[in-house]
Amino acid sequence: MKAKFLNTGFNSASFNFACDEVLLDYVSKTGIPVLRFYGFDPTSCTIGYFQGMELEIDTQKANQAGVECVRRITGGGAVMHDQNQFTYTLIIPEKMLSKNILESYEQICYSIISGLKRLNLDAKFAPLNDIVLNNQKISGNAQTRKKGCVLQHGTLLLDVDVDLMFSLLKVPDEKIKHKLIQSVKKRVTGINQYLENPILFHEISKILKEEFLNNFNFSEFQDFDISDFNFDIQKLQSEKYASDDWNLKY
Amino acid sequence: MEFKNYKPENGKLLKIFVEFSGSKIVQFKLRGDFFMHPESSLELLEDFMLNLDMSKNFTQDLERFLTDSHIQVFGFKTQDLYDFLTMQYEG
Repeated sequence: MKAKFLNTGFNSASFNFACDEVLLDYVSKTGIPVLRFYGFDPTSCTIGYFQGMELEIDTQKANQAGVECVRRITGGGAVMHDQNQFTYTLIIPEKMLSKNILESYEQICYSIISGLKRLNLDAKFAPLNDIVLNNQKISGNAQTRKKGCVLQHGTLLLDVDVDLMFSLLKVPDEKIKHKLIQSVKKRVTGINQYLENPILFHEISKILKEEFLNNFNFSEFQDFDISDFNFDIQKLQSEKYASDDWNLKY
Repeated sequence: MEFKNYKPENGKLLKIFVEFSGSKIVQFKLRGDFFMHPESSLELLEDFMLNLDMSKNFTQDLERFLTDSHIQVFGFKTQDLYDFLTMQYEG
């Protein structure tokens, strides 16, 4: 079966999530899987669907720093997205994946893991939704199932700035913030820490595109022309993902 | 509205606001980095929790509700909610 592929480059969080939702409609209507690679610029904070914005993010500080804060349609935790990350979204008809949600996370994450193996990085899937390297988290993933499709997006950390992250994300107890930051620095890393030469976005893109193609037995990737959908994306971006109604929902 | 943090063993971080009248739950809001499928189930769950009685078949009732409503939760178990709410209820 053929699939569609697009690389939308670096955009705002509200654009990226509007794009995901428009593509979800496309896959639901056509049955053709879509793989998208992208990044975030400006730096953004995203929260899981079930999180409270004010509970997770220092929104005042984020606003002052020009950091967009957006609620995802998927669960999971708050994430700071800067330009040192690679992000993907795979949208695929539900029937092409395991009905078991835990298994389907692993099915999709396997393409990231097999791609990293090509870089001699022995990454492993860590249920429910993470990928770890040397017991350090390098990737978080989140999934939703709507309109007969599975949408899973995930971030692969190339480099990570934990101090910047904690300047924006709230911690449960300010008194132990320093300790928490030290702990996260031990538990989270970017893959470039393990590579002789830092890998660039376009280099990891090339590898992972091939891995998704092979692992899902797609016959080919055809380029997806996003221009036909720009109006829908912009509308959804302004009406939903850039709106307080959505972002401050909880 | 004060949310309290609760991290079940091997679970996700929950942020819960709850108020009781006697042994009954009269206010309940659940936030956190858990997963729930479908996502729209959160309001159903919060509504269901209202008037649940801590002194009666709490976990069985909640388990049955999730099963009957085809709600899948990852990141906490019904027993985790019960444990946290019991701590709050018993002060």
